[in-house]
Amino acid sequence: MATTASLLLSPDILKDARRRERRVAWRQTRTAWLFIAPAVVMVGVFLLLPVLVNVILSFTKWQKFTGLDKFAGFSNYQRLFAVPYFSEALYNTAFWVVGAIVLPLAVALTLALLLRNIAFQETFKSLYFLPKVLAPTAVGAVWYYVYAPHGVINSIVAGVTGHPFDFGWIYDDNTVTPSVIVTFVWQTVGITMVLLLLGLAAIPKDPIEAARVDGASSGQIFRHIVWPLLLPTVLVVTILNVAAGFTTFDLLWVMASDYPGKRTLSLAVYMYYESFSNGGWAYGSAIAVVLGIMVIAVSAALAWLQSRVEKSIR
Amino acid sequence: MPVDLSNPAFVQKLIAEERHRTRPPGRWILLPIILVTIAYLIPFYYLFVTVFKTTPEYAQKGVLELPSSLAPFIDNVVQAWTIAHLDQAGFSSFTYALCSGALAVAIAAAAAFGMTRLNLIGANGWFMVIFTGTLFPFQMYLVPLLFGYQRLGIINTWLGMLLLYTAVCIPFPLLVLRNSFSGISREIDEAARIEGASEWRVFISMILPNARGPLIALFLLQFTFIWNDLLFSSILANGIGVRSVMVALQSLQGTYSTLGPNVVITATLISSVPTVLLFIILRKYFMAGLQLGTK
Amino acid sequence: MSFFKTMTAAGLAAATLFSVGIAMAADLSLYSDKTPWDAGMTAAADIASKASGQTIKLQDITPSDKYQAFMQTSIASNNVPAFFTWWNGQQLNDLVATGAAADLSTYWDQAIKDGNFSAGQKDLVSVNGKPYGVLLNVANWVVFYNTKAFEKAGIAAPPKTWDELMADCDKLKAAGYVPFNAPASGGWMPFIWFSQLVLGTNPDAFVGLTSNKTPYNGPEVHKAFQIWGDMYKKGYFTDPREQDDSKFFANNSAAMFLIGDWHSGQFATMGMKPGVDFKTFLMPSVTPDVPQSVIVEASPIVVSKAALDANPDLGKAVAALMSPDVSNALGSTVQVYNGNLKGTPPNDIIKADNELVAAAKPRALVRWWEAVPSQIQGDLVAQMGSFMLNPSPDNAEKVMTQMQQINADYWASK
Repeated sequence: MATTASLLLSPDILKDARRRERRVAWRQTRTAWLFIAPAVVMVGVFLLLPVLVNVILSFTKWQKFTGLDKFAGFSNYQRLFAVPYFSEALYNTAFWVVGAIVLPLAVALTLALLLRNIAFQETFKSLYFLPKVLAPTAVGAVWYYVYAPHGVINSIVAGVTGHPFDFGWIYDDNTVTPSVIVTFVWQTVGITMVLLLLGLAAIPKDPIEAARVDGASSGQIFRHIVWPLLLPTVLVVTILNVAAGFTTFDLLWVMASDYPGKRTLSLAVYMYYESFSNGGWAYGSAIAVVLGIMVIAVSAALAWLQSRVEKSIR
Repeated sequence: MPVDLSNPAFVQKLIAEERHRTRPPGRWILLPIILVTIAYLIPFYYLFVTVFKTTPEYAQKGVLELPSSLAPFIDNVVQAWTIAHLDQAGFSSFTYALCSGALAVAIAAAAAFGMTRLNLIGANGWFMVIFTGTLFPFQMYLVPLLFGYQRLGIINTWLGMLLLYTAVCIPFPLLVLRNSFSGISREIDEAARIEGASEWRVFISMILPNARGPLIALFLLQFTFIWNDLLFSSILANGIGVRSVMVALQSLQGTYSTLGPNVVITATLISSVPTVLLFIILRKYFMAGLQLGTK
Repeated sequence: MSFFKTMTAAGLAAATLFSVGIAMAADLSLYSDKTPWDAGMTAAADIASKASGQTIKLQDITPSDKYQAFMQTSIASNNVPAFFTWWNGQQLNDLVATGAAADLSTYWDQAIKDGNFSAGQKDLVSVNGKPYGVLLNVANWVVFYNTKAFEKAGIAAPPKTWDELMADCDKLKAAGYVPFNAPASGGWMPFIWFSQLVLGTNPDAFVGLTSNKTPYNGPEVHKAFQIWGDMYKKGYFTDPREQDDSKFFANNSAAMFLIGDWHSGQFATMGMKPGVDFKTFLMPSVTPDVPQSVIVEASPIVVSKAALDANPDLGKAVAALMSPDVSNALGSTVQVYNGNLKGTPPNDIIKADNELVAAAKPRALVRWWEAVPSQIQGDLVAQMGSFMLNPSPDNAEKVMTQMQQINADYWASK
C-alpha cells in the first residue's frame, strides 16, 4: 500500500494516492449511510422520537379530552409525589425488582448446579426453557386458574389437608404480588438456568482441581473459585431480569385483573391505568418518565459493574 | 494430609477422590430434580387436563382430575376459535411476526454491515444512537405512539403495527450482528471488492451466508417476541381484524366472559402452538440465540 | 432465498397493506365497546347504511377502558368516528364540552312528533336541554329472581317492602339458596349494591354523592355500609371473586340478581326462559318512608359533528337509528330495548318491567356510574370492590375514608 509506494514514488504521486484513498473512504462512508439509513430512520422515528414526545407531554395538562396545548410545568411530577398511589406502586415495583433479580437466580443456580453433569441434560434444559417461549399473556391466563379460589393450588392443599381451602391468592393484599412473582420465576427460571449452565461450562477446570487437591470443600470451592468466575454471567442474567422486573405488565394485567387494587401493583401498570383507563395522559407520561429514569439508572449501574468485574477477571 | 506426591497413600487417596468425583451422579441426585421438575410441570398438566373437559364437567370435577373423554376438545377449540376470532388474530399476528421479524433482521444486518465492513465515520456513535432505542421501557412509547398514530390515521391498521414491530426489533439484532460480522475475516470482502463487486453484492453474497446461524436465531427470537406481544397491539391495533393473537386471548378474560375456564385454556393452548412448534423444531437455533445475547 | 428479494417482497406487501388500510378508512364507522351486542349493532348499522346510501361498518373495541382511551385520543387528534357508543350523565357532559358531538335536536323533534320517542327520553341524552345522542339501550335496574327458587322457599309473591325482602332472604337460605348473586367482577359491578343501598335509604343523598354534596364517609353512607355488611354477615351474597357474573344465577345456586334488565338476553342464551324460569320485581326502598325509585340506564349512540356537517346524507342514517326498524332489529338479535315506543319489547321481561315502571311511577335516577366524574370513577369502584372482598366494619371505615379522600381531592383540584 502507501508505505511501499512511498519508497518508490515522488511526493506528488503520493499526495494523489492519499487523496484518492480519502475519496474512496468518503465514498464508502456514503454507501455505509445507505446501509444504516433504514435502521436509523426506523429507530429514530418509532423509538427515539416518542421518548422525546413523552417527556414533553409530561409537562402539559392533557387530561381526557383537553389540555394538550396547556403548559403545566412540574405540576404532574408534584402530583406524583403527593399521591399515595404512586408510593404504593413504587414500593411494589421495588419488591418486583428485588424478587426478579434474586429469586430466578437462586432457583436457577441450584438447578444448574444439580443438572450440571446429569444425563438427559438437553431434555431438562428444553423442558425448563419452554415457558420462556410462551407469551406472558398465555402464562398469566393459565396461572390465573392455578391461583383461583377453586384452582389448582387450593385443590392440592385441600387434598393434602383434607379440608376445603379457598384462599384468594390473587385477591388478598399480602399475597397478590408474591403470587405473580412466583409465576414470573416459573417463566424465567429456564432461560436463567441455561445461561448459568453456559457460564459454568466456561469455568476452567484446573483451579478447581488444584483446590480439591489442596483439600478444599465444595462450599469453599464454590465461594472462592466458581462464584467469582460466574459473576459476569450472573450480572448478564441480572441485567436481563431487572428490566423485566421494572416493566412487567402482561402478567400483572392478566392475573390480577379482578384485584381491586391492581393499579398500584407496579409502576408499569400504574402508568397504563392512569393513561388509558383514567385518561390522565400527561400524568401517565410523567410516570413513564420516572420509570424510564429508574430503569436506565439501574441498568447503567449494572453494566458498569459488569465491565468492572470482567476487567478484574482478566 | 500434606501434598506429597511421593507418598503412595496420598496418591491413592487422590485417585480415589478423582474416581469418586468423575463418576456420574448417582440416583440420589436425580430424585430432587425429578420432584422439582414435576412441581414445575403441574401447570402444563392442568392445561392438558382442562382442554378436554366441558364447562359443566370443569365446574363439577376437581381441577386436577382427568377428563372423562377426549371429545370435548373439538368443541372447546371451535368455541375459542370463533368467540375470540382467533383465525383473524392468528393471521394478523403471523403476518406481523413473519414480516416485521424478517424485515427487522434484514435492516439490522444492513446496518451492521455498514458499521463494520465499510469505513463509516463515527460508527460507534451511530451504533449508540440506535442502541438507545432499547434502553427505554416500552411504557415511554405508548402514549406518544397512540396519539401520533391517531393523527396519521394508521391506528388499527396492519401498516401501523408492521412499522412499529420492525422498529422495536431492530436494536437487539443489530447488537448481535455487529459482533458477529466483526468476526468474519476481512479477506473475503477485500477479495470481492478487488474483483469489482459493489458493496451490495459483497453484503448479499459474501457476508450474509457466513452469518446464517445468527440470522436465523435472531429471526426466531424476534418472531417469538412479536407473536407474544400484548402491550403494543392492545393500544395501537385493537380492532378485530388487526389485533394480535394475545389481545384476542385477553379479550376472553374480559367482563362479558361467560365462557368456562376450559375454553379460555384451550384458547391459550391454540395461541401458543406456533411458538412452541418453532421451539421444538428449531431448538438448536433458539439456544444459539441465547448465547448471542450474552456476548 | 435472496435477501434482496425478501426485502422487495416485504416492501410490496407493506405498500399493499397501506393501500388497503387507506381504503378501509374511507368507510364510515360505528364504534362500540359493547361486544355482546355486536349482532344487533351490525343490524342497526346495515339499516342505517341502506337509509343513507353510505356504508357504515361496526368496529369493536373492548374492554371499555380501552375504548375510552381510543375515543379520547381520537377527539384530541380530530379524528372522531362518525358514530360511536357512549354513556350519558357526566360522561356525556365531558364529551359535549369538547364540541365533538353533533346536536341532534331536529332529529329528536321529528322522532317525538312521529311518536317514536318521548320528551322524557330525550332528557336522558340531553346536555343543557339539547340532545346529543340517539338511544341505543334504555334499561331499568330491577331484581331478577329464579321462579323455582321462590317456589321452593315458599314465597308466593315478590316482596314489596324491605322487611319482606329480608324475610324472603332467610326463607331462601333455609331452602338452600344463596339469596343474591353479587359478583365484584368487570371493574364496575361493585358499585351496584353500594348505590342501591344509598338510594334506598336516602335518594337525595344518593344524588348528592356525585355532586360533592354528600360525603362518602357521611352518616348516609355509613348507614348503607352498615346494612351491606350486615347482609354479608347473614350470608346473603355469593362469593364476589367469581369472574363469571351470571354463573351462580344460571346454575340455580343464587336466587336473585340485581342488574339491568338488558341482562335478560344473556340469561336467555344460557338456557333460562324469560318470564318462565325467571321474572323481575322492583327493589323496594330500604326505609319505608322513602318513595320508590328506580335506576335507569340509558346508553346513547353519539354522532360526530364533523362527520354530520361534512356529509348531510348521514342525517338519514340518524333518522333511521330512531326508527322502529332498528329498535326491532336490536330486540330480535340481542334482546336489547332502545326505548322506541313503537318498537316491540324484545321479551316478556322487558315488557313487564316497562309496565311495572309505568304503574309504580317511581322516581327515575341516573346511574351512579354515569353521574360520577370519570376521573375518580375507577378508583371509587375499586374501593367498593375491596369492601366486598372483606366486608368487615373496620374495612368499611377504611374504605369510606379513602373514598371521601379521593372525592375531596378531585373536587378540590377543579
